[in-house]
Amino acid sequence: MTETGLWISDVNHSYEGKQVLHGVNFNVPAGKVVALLGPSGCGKSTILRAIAGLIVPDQGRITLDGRDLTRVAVRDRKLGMVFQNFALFSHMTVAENIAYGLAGLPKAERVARVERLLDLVRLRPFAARFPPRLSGGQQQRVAVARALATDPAALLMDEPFGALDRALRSELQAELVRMQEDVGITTVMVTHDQEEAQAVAEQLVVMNEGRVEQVGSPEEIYDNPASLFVNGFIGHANRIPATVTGPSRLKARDETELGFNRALNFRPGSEIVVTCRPEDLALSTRPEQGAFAARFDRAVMMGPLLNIEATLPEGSQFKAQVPRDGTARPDRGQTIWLRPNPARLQVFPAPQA
Amino acid sequence: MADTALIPAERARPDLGAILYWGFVWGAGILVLIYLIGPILLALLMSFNSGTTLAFPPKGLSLRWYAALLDPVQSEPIHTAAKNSFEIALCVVVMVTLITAPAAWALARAPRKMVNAVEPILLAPLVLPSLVYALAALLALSLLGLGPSFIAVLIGHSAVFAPLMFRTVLGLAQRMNPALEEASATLGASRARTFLRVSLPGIAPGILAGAFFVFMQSLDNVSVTLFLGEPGRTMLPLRLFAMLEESLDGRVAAVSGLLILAAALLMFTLRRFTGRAAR
Repeated sequence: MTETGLWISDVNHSYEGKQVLHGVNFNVPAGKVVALLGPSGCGKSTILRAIAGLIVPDQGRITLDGRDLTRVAVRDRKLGMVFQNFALFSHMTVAENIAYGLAGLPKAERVARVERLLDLVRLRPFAARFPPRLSGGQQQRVAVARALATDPAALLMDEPFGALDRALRSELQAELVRMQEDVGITTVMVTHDQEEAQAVAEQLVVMNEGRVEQVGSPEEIYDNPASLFVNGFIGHANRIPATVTGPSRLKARDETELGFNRALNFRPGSEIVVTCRPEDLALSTRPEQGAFAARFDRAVMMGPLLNIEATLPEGSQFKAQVPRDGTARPDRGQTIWLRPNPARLQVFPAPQA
Repeated sequence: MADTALIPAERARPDLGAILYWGFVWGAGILVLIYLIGPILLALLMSFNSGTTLAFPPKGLSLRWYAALLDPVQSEPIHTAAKNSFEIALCVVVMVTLITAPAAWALARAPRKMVNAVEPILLAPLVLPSLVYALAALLALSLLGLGPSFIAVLIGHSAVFAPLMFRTVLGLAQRMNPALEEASATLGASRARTFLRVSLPGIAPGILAGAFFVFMQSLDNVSVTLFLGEPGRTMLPLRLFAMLEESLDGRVAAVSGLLILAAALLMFTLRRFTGRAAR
């Protein structure tokens, strides 16, 4: 039985002697949306280009629904791609752009297909316009329609919202999710924006420096990050350098001792980094067991929440998010105590200096 | 009293500066415009002269020189020369387009280092006096056993004027988004189809603008034509020279008038065309 979906296996690639992909492995289940997420230069666009066939990776295999694509030429891959700045043909109308990949079809069929896609992306009134006369959001929809016109086996999108206003994005993301559900096409999206990835994709592939750091649902990645990098890249993570003192105890640099309700997988004496999400900290104006003393810098109201910024004695910044429950705010410079929820702490080996 | 006198003087100073500044900008600008356009207007005016020779100011207005120019019996040599010149210019444009457009398109995709190495060589004919090139080409061609001929002029003009189109096409080709061709490929288009449907429309304004420059330069060229052309085959600029030498023939002004009109019309349509493509 052949495996369905898109499989990327052990892909290595170098540019001008510099290795940009290190054994990349992940798969996209048939009909699902996966987002490749990472900082710029992490190799996410390179892997997308390898899937599209715009580059041939040095090593590794790319298969789609059991078909080995690795050596197949770009134009024979039958994949739809949405480019970063949409790459629309500005000398062709919207309808001509969408029809571009349909040259092999009889005219009547081609016209019918173009009309169906115009309806799908709700651009029928704009069929005769030239792309430069469209708004950014409309251009994006033309790009999606053009990519879907050939009935591709998978849809690839490179920063599809990158060229759009922030205000437009969430609306178009919802639109894309709706359309993807209608069409049910296996989709890979590249983005550096974690909110965008979480809004659109069911699975995230977090990449850093040419490696896959973690693959999982947005919840898995947020709640159980596989590495310090993932922890800090998806959402905010306060970092506390510490030393392991017992099977489930550790001591932070500032002598604060923390007890865990679970066993730590570190030998006593190991240098580690404990991380804590802002929303897992409780605020107190009195010393408390297992709480970090910090200098209160400022607080910003955000709806029902208060975003607090504080500084630990050794100088590192701490962010906390607490309910705005009517208690008096501390004064600037005042000492406060931030107590993490031990169940929600993450522990990683200290990064090599 | 001294104080009050100072204040208006101080206020007046920047005004004077501004007057001088704008006076210079406008004055120099208008002088340059007169210098550029004046002779052309003069030639146009003289072409409508009703007198018997080329003279300014015209004695009266008439179309007699245009009539004389169009008369097939009287102006047969001019017609032949014009036909020869247009023939050459058209052939040169075709040849330059066939060589230059692919070269510029390919070079826009080549590594930066290679472009930097090749570009000065390709642009050399632009800075080299065409007289020098013409002489060199004559010597080189005679070594190959090819004397002055239509082919020699065609090769000569193509080599000397190709850089004009190369520049206009390379500029556009380098600014073209490489994702456009990639998009075409992902949509299943062959390389040929991608070039014809995506790349070519992208560089077409450059080809058109370049073709215009090359055509006008070829039509106008004297030195290369003089060195490489067959002695018996007269070309328009050479014919005009001869006519001016023989007598101050008013038909020369009429030829100028027609050329000015043609150039203006071409430029106007070209601007409309490339203007639309750029938007």
